[in-house]
Amino acid sequence: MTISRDEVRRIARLAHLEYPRVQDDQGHWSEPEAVCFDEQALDRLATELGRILDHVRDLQAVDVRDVPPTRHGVELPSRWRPDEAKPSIDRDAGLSGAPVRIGDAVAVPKIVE
Amino acid sequence: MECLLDASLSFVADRLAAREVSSVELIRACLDRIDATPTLNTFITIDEDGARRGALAADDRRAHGRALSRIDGVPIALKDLLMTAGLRTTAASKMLANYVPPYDGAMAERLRAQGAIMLGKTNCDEFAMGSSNEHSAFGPVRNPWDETRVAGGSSGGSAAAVAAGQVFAALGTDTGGSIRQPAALTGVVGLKPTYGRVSRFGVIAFASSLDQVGPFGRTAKDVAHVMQAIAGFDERDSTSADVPVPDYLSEIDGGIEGLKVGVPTEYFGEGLDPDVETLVRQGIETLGHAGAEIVPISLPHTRYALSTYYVICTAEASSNLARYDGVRYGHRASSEHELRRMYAASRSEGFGDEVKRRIVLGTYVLSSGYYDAYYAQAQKVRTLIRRDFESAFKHVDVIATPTSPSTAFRLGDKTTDPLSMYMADVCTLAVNLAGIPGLSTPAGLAADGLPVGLQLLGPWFEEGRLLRVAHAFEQATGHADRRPTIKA
Repeated sequence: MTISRDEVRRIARLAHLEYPRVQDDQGHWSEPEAVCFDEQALDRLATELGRILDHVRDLQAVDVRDVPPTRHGVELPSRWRPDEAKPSIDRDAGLSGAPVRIGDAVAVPKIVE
Repeated sequence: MECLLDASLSFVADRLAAREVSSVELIRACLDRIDATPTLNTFITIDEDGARRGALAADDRRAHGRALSRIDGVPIALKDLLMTAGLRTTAASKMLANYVPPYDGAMAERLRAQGAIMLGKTNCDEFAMGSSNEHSAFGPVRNPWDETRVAGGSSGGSAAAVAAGQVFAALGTDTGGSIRQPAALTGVVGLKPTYGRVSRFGVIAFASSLDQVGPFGRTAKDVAHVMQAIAGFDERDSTSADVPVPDYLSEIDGGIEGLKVGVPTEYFGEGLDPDVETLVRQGIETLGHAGAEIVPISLPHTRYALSTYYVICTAEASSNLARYDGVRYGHRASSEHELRRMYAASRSEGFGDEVKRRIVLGTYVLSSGYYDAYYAQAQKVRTLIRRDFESAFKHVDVIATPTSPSTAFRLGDKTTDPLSMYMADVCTLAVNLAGIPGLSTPAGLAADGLPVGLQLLGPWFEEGRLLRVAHAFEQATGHADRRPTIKA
């Protein structure tokens, strides 16, 4: 099965592994290296995915009429636990892994200009 | 002390109980062995100070007759996928290279409660995605039997550490064979329990419907000791099974007289190394000589296990790994100042090639237009695979197969061909899809001098039966007594 470079790129964007280059007001393209697969990597990935998808296509031949899906190896009923407040991780500990922290919050790049 | 490092956990636990050796001495000996064998690359983080403190406390408890369990003071390693409060937990990924969890997962918590000493965190494939331990941001693990060979994966560090006498037992995780395959390739015992038998609370998720934690040991009894400590219901894991845990050690000597052992024809076909087949068939004959009845069986949907597994595991992985966006923890790209670009750059920089490949594949099979053809279809085929086992266990008590189609392959042999790497797990994947327990026990050395594993499968929650068969097999063959030559 062939999977095109554009298809791989579309999926990589869905998976937040790539972000399209953007053009600024002067028509300059943003630098691609950190957020885009290069052409060689895309071609390699397309070939590898094509081979894997070729292999898994054998599933299509299996007759699964009236067969329910299995979502877990052991189907367990959903359980309720008592609705009780219990101690949890304190704020400092919870924020201890944040790459950038400001006060009691995680800092992120602004999303509104 | 050096010779104790090649002994079983059970033997060492007896020496500790008799106060013929101290936990502090054991820790020192293990650390010396680790220092003497750095090329194996088994550990990502070693908690030397914490281990020494733990050993002192364990020895103090022993001195006052207050030992917490049989494994109090025994050094054990944890795969670096299991959360440990205050001790770096990386998933062998650049994404989490500096991540220090603020809490203990259930495994660290239960081992601490039993007094076991957590010596460190073992190397593995990144986010447990791999079959050779070559997909680690911290470099590959080498096989103690031959350092030009892989140790298997993804829990290769845990397996190799036990095989090389660096620790007496270790924990791994098994999503498609990641405990059993490295156990086979390094000549130790590895058990994947029934799905839900061991809590996944605090396990870094790869594929949530398949992931399960389990122990490595040098003998079935060693594995039984660790299982006793880690098995059981945990309300913090919504998939944890509230099923009573038996006393694994009390039933381990029960023998296998009259037990029916099924041998599925589908596991002895094309692609199986003839040398591996010979040893596995000899192993099955040994079970027959020990009193078991050998019964040919069929598991007709086995041929679809590889495809089913790689659709389901990548789909779940793409969803589970969406949380790594560089915001709350983990790697954040410093180059990007716009949110969506920051997500993409952080993930692109933080994940290795195999993880990206699986995320892309998983996203593809879940995406609009492909969901029904791949993901929904795979879930239904999974039902047929599970039903194969249900039918088989109406007629037999356990199933015996090879664990791996070959002995340990050379480092680099399969890294450029993902599909060929995926085939390395072809004997183990169906077990995770069905959720049943599986165990690999040493079945002797092939002509190339490398270990071969015999895989034993049982019905849901029958880990005790597998341990009993493995113990009887060890007694009959002595294969589990073999150790690699350590050039210390």
